[in-house]
Amino acid sequence: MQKIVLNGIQKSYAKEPAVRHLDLIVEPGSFLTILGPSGCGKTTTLRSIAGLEEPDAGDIQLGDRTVFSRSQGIIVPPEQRNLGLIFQSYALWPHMTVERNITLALKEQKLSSGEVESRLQSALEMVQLTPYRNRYPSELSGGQQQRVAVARLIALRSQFLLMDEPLSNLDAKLRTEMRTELKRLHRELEATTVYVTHDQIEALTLSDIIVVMNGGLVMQQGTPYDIYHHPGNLFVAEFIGDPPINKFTGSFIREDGVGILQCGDHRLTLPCHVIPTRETLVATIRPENIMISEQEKDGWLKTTLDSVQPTGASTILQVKSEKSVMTLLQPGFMRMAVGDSVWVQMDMTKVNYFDPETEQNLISEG
Amino acid sequence: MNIRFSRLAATLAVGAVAISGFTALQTQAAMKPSAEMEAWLKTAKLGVYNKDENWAEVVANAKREGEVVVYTSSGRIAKLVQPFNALYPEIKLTVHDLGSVKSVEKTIREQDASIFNADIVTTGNSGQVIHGMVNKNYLVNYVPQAYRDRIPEESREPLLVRVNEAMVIFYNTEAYPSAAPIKNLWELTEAKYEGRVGMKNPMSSGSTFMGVMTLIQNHEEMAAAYQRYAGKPIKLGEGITNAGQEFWARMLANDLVIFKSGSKLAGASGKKGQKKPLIAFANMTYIARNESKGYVNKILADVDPVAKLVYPTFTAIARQAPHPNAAKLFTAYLLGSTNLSKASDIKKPYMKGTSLDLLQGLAPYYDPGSVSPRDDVPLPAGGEIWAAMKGWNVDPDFMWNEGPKMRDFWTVHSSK
Amino acid sequence: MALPQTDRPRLPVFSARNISYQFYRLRNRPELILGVLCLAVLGLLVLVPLFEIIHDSLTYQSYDKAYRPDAEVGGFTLFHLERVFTGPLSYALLIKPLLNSIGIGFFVTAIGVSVGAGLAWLLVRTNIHFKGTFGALIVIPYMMPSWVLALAWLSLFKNDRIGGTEGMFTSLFGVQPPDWVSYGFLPIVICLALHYYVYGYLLMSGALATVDSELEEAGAICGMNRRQRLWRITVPLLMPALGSAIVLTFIRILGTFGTPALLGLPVRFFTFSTQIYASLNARNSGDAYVLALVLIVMAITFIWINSRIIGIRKSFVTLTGKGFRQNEIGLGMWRWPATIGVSIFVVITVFMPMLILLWESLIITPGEYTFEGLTAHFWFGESDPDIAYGEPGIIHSPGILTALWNSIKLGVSAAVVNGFVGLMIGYAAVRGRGSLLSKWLEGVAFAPYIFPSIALGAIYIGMFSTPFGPIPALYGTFAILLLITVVKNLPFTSRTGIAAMLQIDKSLEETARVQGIGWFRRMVQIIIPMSTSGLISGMLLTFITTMRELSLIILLLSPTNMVLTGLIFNYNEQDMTQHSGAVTLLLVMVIIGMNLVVRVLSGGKGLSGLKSG
Repeated sequence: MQKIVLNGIQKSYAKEPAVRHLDLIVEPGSFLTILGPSGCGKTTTLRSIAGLEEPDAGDIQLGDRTVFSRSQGIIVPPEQRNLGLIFQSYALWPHMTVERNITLALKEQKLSSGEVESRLQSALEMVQLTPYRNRYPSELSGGQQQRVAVARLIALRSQFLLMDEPLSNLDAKLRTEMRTELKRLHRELEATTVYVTHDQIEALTLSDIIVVMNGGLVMQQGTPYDIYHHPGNLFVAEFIGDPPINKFTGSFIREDGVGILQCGDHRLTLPCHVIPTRETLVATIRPENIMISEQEKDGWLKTTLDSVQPTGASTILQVKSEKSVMTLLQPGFMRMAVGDSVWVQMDMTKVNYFDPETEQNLISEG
Repeated sequence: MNIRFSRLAATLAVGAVAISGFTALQTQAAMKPSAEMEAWLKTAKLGVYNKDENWAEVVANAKREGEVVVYTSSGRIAKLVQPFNALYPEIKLTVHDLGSVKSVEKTIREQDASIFNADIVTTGNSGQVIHGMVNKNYLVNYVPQAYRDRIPEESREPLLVRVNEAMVIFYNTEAYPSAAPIKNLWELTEAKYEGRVGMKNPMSSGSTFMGVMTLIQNHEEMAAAYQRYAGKPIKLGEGITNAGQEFWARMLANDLVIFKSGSKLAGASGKKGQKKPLIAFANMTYIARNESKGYVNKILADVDPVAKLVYPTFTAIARQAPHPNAAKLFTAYLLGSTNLSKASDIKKPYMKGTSLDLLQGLAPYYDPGSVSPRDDVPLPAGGEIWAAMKGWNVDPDFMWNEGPKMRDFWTVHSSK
Repeated sequence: MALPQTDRPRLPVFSARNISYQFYRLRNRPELILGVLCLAVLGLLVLVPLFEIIHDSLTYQSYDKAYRPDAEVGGFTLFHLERVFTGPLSYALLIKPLLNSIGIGFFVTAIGVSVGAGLAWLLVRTNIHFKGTFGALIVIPYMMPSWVLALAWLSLFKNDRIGGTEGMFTSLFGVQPPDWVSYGFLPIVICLALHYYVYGYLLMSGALATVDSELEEAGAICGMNRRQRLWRITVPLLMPALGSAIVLTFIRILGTFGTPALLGLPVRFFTFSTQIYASLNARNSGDAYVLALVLIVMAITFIWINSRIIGIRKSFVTLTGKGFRQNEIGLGMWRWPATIGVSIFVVITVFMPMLILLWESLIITPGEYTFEGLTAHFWFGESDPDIAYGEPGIIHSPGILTALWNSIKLGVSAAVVNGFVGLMIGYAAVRGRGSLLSKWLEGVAFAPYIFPSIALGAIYIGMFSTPFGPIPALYGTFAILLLITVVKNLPFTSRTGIAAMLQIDKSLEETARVQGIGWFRRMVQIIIPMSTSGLISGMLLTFITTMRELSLIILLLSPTNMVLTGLIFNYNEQDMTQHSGAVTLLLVMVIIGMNLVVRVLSGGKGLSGLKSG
């Protein structure tokens, strides 16, 4: 198992920067997801690792091999990088059978036909497509096509796996199934994997490390837990989480040596290690961290129910107070009526505070 | 930087390729070695080296060379392939029937490019051939020794004439059974002949162009003929300098019908059963169609001021011909056997038997409209008419000097 | 995280490292290498003739010595420009023929494209009967040399102006058609329109096949009626293809020679192309090239206007199989009338000319259209000196069989070479899309279209008469015929090559690269197999145009490399109408035959639709 290192990668297209500056280390055998909205530079990064894009600056190492270095003048073509790549569209060759799709590259490597056959069979078994080996891609469903693409990777036995939004063409149910499959594949192949997606659920469920990108820059890099609970900046906080995080902007005052944030109808007491440098402050809290009560409770805010959306195992509620709107997530299938009065209270230990200008989280990591 | 670099590289590459290709083109046009030609003339015994001809040697060399390639403006030469082969089985005759324009074009282009493919070039268009080809060493004049005394000088200097043809006027004997329709050429410019006179396109037919030029060349006679026709001197139109031009201008204004094909033109005047057949300025040799196709053309033999506009078809050996001896042999063949004389009895069909043996290269051309330059050849049936018709000959200098301007003249006046 | 400065130094441009790095980069971009190679070769074959035309029109030529005896050949001069544009010759040489050509071009394009588009719509989008049959027959007029229709017209409608045998109309009805019906503008327009509508048909049917019905249905839901949907949804979607059809047809008409020559000469109706041809015939290259330049400039202008008005729509829908549907539009009570209408059209444009040719080839005496005078001599007869100067019937004529073989050889090799070259160009242009190289490549590949064939042929003789670097002198060889044919057809095959490549998503090749498959194997295993069906229409079109081509190669022909069209031309000159008709029919049958073979082998594709790209 080998690691992938990116140093100082920059890439622009016709003066529009796609990746501004990227340093990345993917530990050997780990599963790293690059997560971000369209145009954030994640696909460009992935393609640069594969050698399908040429960065303007920086270097890339696969294991102990430098495959790209602008300053040293090294550029290794994709054919020689020995990676596996799954495209969003699977890129199956429509004029070849499943068998040929999987084995074409193997034959180029001059493996013995016995070896090719055995790899083919084991790959087909692993994706459960053995009876389909003589079908053409057009005769397969979307899910089956995706599995053929996966089988290709298995047969090639690359040390590095790159995946470019491989699940986005599948319907919701299939997606969930295939997520598990991909994770299993990563483990069995013991390959260092870089996964690109805009879907945070995939990122959270699959990754060892998530790298959040926006506008060509890395916003935050960390474990799913860190990203979720300790977003380093507002962008990450808002991007991760479904339903989206609640955000309040308010003014900061000192009262009796204690910081108070006044935003709308809320009066929040800041923890002492939060030191704002401005007069305004942004506070965020995830919907599941707000408590709700149908009876009045002391110190809790009185709100009116604006919408109730049960999703089966939980319910999304929107409540309105005089000056603000909040989204809550409660377990269970709740049946309350719009217009009812409810009382809400935030779990203060789960609130994050951000500087409104720099958008950085004011709670530094321990 | 990278994008600019590749753009720059691409621009330079394209520019370099284009410019180098272009200059290469230019430099090759300037090459015209005459030292090579001198050497060839010597070995081939042509030009100034053509003395003391040993005909047996020529024939033997020709058989060794094994081939002769001919560029011709006239398709009938192709009929000689079989007979020539029968006579000289060792020599392959290849005929390229190109028409008058292309036989000149191809010869000049090839030689400019140092490709020496042709042995014999036979075509009309006096101005072009003499000034543009012989004088520029594309062609070498050659007259076989045995024929020098049989051909008058004007038909072998500066270039050997293979056959003389003429542009004459055909009319339809069904429409005009008793007498010819006109007595004076100028009558054709009258309203009653509007759209009823046809001619081949002089812009694409060298022979027809020669006919047009010959008329202009003799403009004083045309003016005199007009005087006789109208009883007063001719008034020239705007921009027109002589009566010859005036004639053509009036013909064009009188809706002269232009044809592409000479044989269709002959049919236009000669086909039986037409209500309003055309009068045609046609190549006299088409009179033979009266027999082959049942046409009823008759040659207008007696008309003021001229009945036939004569133009020669030359034959010459191409510069640095690969088979010069075979070319000499074929030249002789084209002129007809030396056994041919005025006393010979030539019977139809001309392309068979003893007639062929005697006529040889003349056989396809043995009709009243094609006349051999030899003075010892009997006339074909109906051939007496040639001598009886008043004729003008084309002047190659006039054609060369005035040709382009007259083409312009024609272009301007044929546009409506 | 603050943004760190890049402290990695860039390589100095001219260091050895950088140069080798740049070469390394090229390895990653095979399309760049290929593109430069193609551009260089094409530049030579296309731009050099252009330079030559421009150069010769601005310098003295030997022909000009008749006007300016002291002029030095090769010296700069505006003489030709003065002659053509401002001199007394200008009206006859330039203006009137130009107006004629534009007039013809306008009407033929209007009629031809409308007819073609209408037919395309009927056959692609509606439920008209016999679609398959019509589809196969509709393209046949294009397979005949364009002047065959003109010959047929003359056989039918000629009057006594050109004398000779009676036209069929006259012999049937006893009335002479007036001159303006028999010759000149009207018949030229009709004959050309009935030949060139095929361009419009092919381009529009290709475009119509890609119109997604969902878009029209959306319009229906918004309350648009059928007419509104047609004009406000379908037509704008088709604008690029329509624009292409109009421009291509118009430019082609401007340069067409055979038909206007045949039908215009009797009434002295001259067009631009006939004037160019006349000048070339006289070896007056100065005039000819100035006129050719005018034609080229006009063509470029039209292309430019087209791209401005229609917009440069460079994005194409890659076939991913997602949600594309096409509904047939019901014609209702118009179904049978439409079917009958198209049938009549097909009969007139396809069967009638061929029938006339057949009849002409079977009558013993030209012009006498009786049943007693029928004979199979001109097809199967042995040589008879009394008939047609002894030329035997087709089957027995070695000359004809050689010409047939040469034509087929030329057609097939041109098609294959062109298909391959078109694909290479398509590959380089599409994979490098957006770059300057790619744009130039597309432009240069299309450039031969704007050259009048006549001028191109004349220049190629000059260019390839001598050895040029490693290329030996090609004059008189089969190779030069092939070369000029490939170049002239490149505009079509490069378009189909580009279109075929656009259908192949980049990811299909990228995945092969990542899996370690090198460029050559990628081409052989993936690109070529996937693009074959797209290339077929380009190749077939090349085959057809080559088989019936004359003006391009006429200067380069000799008895050894004679082709069928040259023979037909010669027979016509010698007024051997039966042989001319028989050989023309033979030519048409070979072309149709090849078309059928290709259709069968490619599973029904053939000329079923050119992409409008």
